[in-house]
Amino acid sequence: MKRLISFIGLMSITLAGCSFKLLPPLVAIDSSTDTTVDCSTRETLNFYHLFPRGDSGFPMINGIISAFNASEEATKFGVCIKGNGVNFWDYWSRVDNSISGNTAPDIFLHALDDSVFRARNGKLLNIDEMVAGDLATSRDTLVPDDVFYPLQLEAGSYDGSLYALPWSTTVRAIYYNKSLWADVGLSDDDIPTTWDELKTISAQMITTKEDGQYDTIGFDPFSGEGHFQQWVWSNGLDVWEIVDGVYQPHFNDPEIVNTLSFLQSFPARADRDKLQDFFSQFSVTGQDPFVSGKVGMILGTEGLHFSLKAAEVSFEYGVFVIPYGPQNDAELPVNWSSSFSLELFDNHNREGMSDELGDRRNQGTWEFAKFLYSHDVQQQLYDNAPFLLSHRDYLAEFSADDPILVALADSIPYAIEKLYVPMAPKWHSDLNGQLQSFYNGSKTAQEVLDATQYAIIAKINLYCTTNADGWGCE
Amino acid sequence: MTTTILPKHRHRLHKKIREGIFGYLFASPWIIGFFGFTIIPLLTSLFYSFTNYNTLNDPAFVGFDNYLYLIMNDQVFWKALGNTLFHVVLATPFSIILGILVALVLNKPIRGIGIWRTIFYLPNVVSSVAMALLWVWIFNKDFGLLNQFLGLFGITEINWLGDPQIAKISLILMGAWGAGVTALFFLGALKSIPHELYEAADIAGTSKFSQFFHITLPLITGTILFMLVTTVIGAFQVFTLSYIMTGGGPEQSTYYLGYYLFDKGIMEKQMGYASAISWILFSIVLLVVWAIFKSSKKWVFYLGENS
Repeated sequence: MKRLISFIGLMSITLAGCSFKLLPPLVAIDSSTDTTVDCSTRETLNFYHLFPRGDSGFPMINGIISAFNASEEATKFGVCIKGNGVNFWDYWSRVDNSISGNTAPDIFLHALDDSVFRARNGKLLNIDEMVAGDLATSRDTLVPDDVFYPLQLEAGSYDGSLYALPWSTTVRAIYYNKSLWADVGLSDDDIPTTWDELKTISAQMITTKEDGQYDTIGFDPFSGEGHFQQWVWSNGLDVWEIVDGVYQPHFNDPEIVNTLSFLQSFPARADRDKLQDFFSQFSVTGQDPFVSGKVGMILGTEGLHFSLKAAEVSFEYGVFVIPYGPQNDAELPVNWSSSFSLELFDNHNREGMSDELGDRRNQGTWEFAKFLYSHDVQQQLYDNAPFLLSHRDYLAEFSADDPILVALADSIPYAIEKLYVPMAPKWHSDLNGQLQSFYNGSKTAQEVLDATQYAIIAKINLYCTTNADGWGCE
Repeated sequence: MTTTILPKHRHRLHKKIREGIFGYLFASPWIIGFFGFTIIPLLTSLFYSFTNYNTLNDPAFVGFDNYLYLIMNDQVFWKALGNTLFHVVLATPFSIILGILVALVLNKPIRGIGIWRTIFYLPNVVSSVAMALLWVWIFNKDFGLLNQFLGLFGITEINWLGDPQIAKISLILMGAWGAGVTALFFLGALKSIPHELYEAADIAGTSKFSQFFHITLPLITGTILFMLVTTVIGAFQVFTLSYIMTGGGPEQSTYYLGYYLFDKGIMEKQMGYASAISWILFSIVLLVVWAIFKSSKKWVFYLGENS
């Protein structure tokens, strides 16, 4: 018995020793709590973000959190924010697993286009109710309609209420190489506004090498950020329709098939092997064809602008909104946005949480959210992170001296998030997977879109048969 | 008499209990880990397989609905199962035969054998993700090393990862990369074969070819059994290669069951359905391994064992 007691004692001392050695750095890594504010008597609220220790944005986000913890609002509600920065690639499983368990952060970044999934399952705080609460008590508030673009708010809404605040914006537009344009006698006056015009000028920039391979091309609709659903929207069409709450796929509608066939008729796609070889030479060496100055035009996001600036390219470039297709009667330059959202966990749904504490935590979180959208904080975020702010006034103010960002901003009001389809949440990558057979010539436009429609219907049948919820089913 | 026996017996019992306690205490990290990270998740996934569970709400019991739909209506499941079986049937013997061949070479008393053994083992220290990315370049249709090499013999460009008929084979060929580990096990087995057997065979004038089939092969069947079981289990779980290299394509030709359950559970949040897939996969693996063990009595030999 003596030996057992001594063994347990020894193990306890060893483990305690280990914990004494390990604990301080662990706390230091995970915690962003301001040391100048005494948070021990306050309620701790967890904030998941994408600036882990070591990231250049870490000191900035730490400073923002510290500033909030020292603010009147934090004191008033007796809360302290504890930041938790996670690497982008680990972030999604980390935040999703936390929400699935009972350890959800109080406030976190997520994808705007699937926020309805979390809202429907009662995980998110109703932002409209928080705004109404502020207005009823004459507190300063954030009125989403005054701050964000309507299409982004639509993406963050469920059942008529807002549940996710747009955090960033992604916008897609066409970048053009002014040097290559000048070589064929084109200038800014020749910017195309229709698909036919785009096709015509893209033919002018094709040059070949001695071995017959492409040296430069004008434009390929499926390169860069050229995803098919983007073109479908630009053409005033959609692959999904919601009729009385029922999700109906239209992947093989004749107009959609014609759209795909039209895009295939772009001049550079006339010789599949040559085009594949052309892009392959860049992918092998990890280069971007547009940055390399070999492509006259390419569809890209704001990220391409940041890459071009970082690469200090020798040529001048510009950007224009994606021309609308022949069936886009509204003549709107619709493009695809894939934004981040800022979401607030509804603490009333946390196990074992009293109503009073839930209210306090929710209010504290909401105050922090408003703080994040304040002018100075947005300025810091803009200066430190390469993304477009969703706050339309601040974005316009901060990016005023960058003509490319100003031009990109023209497309933001028309940037839409892809629809969240409960039975096929990754329908967009399913579509892209199917389209590979079309790109490599093994299937026709009709065949590949028939196959997509068939696969999606199979998913709908599976979901609607095995899912008790039946969201979006007949 | 009794007064002298009882204390001894008590003392022995006491010692046994103490040893038992210490034994469990020392094994407790593994026991806790085994229950916490294997048994409980295993049973939980079994429970989920009978539910509809989207990871955010409470699981709703649906009985055998998931299993019935999988077997009766889900064509993607059968396609993925077919792809998985194809991979298992070809990748397993390929890996084992290659491992034996490499081991036979490494067993030769050639100059710098230590270096060769290290070289063959080295690829296994590279992470599977890095390895997969590397092979994407090797298999590149236009600029890949493999097609460049084959071009020297006049073989025209092969679309290793882009052709549905070839992509499956390409992923199996990649198995050559990991032959070092298999070879290491077989090398250990070859080393344990007594030299006297070969000397006797030499005296009897038996050819090297015959020696391999009548001495070497029978005496490494124990290792073959071990490698067969572990390789089959690994082949059924194939996922990383297709996820990184082909995305399950082209035309779902490399869409395996592991990929399908990942898609359903993680990407589409149908955790109940994904759990049902995993239990069917588990059952198939169990059945195959059981069949291998059952048949092993007929083809596995150990030195000194009565046949």
